[in-house]
Amino acid sequence: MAQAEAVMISMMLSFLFYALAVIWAFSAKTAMLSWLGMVFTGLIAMSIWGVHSITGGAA
Amino acid sequence: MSFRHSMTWLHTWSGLVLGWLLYFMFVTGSTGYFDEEILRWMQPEIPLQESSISASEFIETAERRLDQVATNATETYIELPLGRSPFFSIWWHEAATPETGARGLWHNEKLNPNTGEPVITRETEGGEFLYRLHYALHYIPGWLAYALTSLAAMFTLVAIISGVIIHRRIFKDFFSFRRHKQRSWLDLHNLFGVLPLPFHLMITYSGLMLLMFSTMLPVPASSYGVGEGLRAIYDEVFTEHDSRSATGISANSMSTVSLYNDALKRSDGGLINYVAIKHPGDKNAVIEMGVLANEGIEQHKPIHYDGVSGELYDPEEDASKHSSAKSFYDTMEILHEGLFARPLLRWLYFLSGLMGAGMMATGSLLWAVNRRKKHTMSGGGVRGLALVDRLNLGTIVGLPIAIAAYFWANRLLPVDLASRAHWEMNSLFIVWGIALLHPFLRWKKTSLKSLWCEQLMFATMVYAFIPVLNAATSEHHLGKALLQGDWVMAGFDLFMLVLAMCFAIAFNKLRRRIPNPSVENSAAGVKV
Repeated sequence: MAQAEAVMISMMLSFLFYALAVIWAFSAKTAMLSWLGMVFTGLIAMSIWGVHSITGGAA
Repeated sequence: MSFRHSMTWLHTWSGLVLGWLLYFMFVTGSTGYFDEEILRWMQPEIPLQESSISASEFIETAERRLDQVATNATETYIELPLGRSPFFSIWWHEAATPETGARGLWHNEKLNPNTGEPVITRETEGGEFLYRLHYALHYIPGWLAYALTSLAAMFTLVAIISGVIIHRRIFKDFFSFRRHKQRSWLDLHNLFGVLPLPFHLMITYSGLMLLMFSTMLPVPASSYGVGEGLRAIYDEVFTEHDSRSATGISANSMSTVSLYNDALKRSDGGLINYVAIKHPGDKNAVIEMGVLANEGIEQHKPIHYDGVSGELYDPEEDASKHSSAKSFYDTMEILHEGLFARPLLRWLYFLSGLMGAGMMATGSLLWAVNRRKKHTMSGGGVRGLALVDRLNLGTIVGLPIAIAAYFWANRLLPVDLASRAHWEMNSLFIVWGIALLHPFLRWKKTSLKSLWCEQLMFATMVYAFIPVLNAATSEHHLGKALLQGDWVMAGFDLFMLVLAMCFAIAFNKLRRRIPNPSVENSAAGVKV
């Protein structure tokens, strides 16, 4: 159940991150800054996922 | 642009874009808190229970009927006319038979509480249709509806959070109610938004969560892949494991009535409003008594018995243990649906939902009012404003008119009409379409305020005459219902009158405000 539970938790949290992302997008001083913030956080999230699936696959 | 300023912008536009859909969702969702009561009004064939009948008599009558019709059932339910549900009905589940290709199906029959005979009711979807509208919409596939309603809920979540940020005095407003402050759309908007703020947050977030397996699919897909794997997690989380399956060996079950009496003793004064039997006639039969909970957020505290020995039986022992994530999900679902709510809380749920609708309506009106001020100052184009003005009217007053049309159709459509339930539902949308078109068609000839007056007047009439319609088309007129203490029927009619009164008050207030340059200045001075 551990993985199912992790998936449930992340799905339930996703809406909060979504709302925060929208607020960030609209509060950033310039459109460029707004994009950069999104891309940067996106890249971090993607790399965590990437590292996790590589190590997860090895183990 | 300051942070607060950008949030104001976000709040205004995210609110406007989906405001009408959200108004629709708040109104129809709120009706869902009274779905059983609405269904009862929409099936007037069911007679009122004339004398007090003991539960054991009800159970025996229902079992006699089940013996006739549900010979192959894998599960049976007896619903007693108690608590919120005024229905005496039986449910049974026929197993799928692979030989004939028949699928497993639930069947339902409503019984006459006086005679036990099945009652033939008109074909209707009742209150459940209105309730389903708030997330599944109508005429479009489920996935699209879920995406749209979730998007709208997401906008609300953003609008609520940004609203809290732009509303500086939020906590002061939350704890104070300024009756004598000059009333304006902004005040009303703040009132509807801030007073039930915990409800709005809960209902929006839990609503998003209930549809997350449609909208946030990439999350589980990243771990489980698409297809089979995804189905597996869904089943793992949501399937209620049948703790005891049928053995195929038949055995004599205990008498349901004696178990009912035993459960009643153990229930601490809680009433029992259903009796369920799993695998009737099997060695592994389980009999479940639906004890209504007196407290907490669960609707029932069921008591289970081994059907053959009559001993208490705890199904949780065999069921897979629930994770904390799942419990959180379940709690949010329970809070969203409010099935546990007893009358006072149920009305609070309903009123909070209507305040949500009010928040959306006043927000959209406020947008138009502010825009109009800007245009008067700058003299800019008004095409967008005119569109918003018309849609505001067609939605804010048009939707309640359309819901009334659904009730009217329920009583006026011939009982033997083919796909009758569908025509009841179509009536709602046909009438709503007309209400939406009405301001567009009469735009050139009439002022916005007279258009509002016309629809408000019409709304007053259609709601005020619903009790009359009820009296003309059923045996349950308001006077009789009141005399017999039939509170579901009487409550429905009375609430329709309350709604009519609200529309009449709005009509009166607005009519006095029809701009008339010659008297406007003096009238403003006299106005109380």
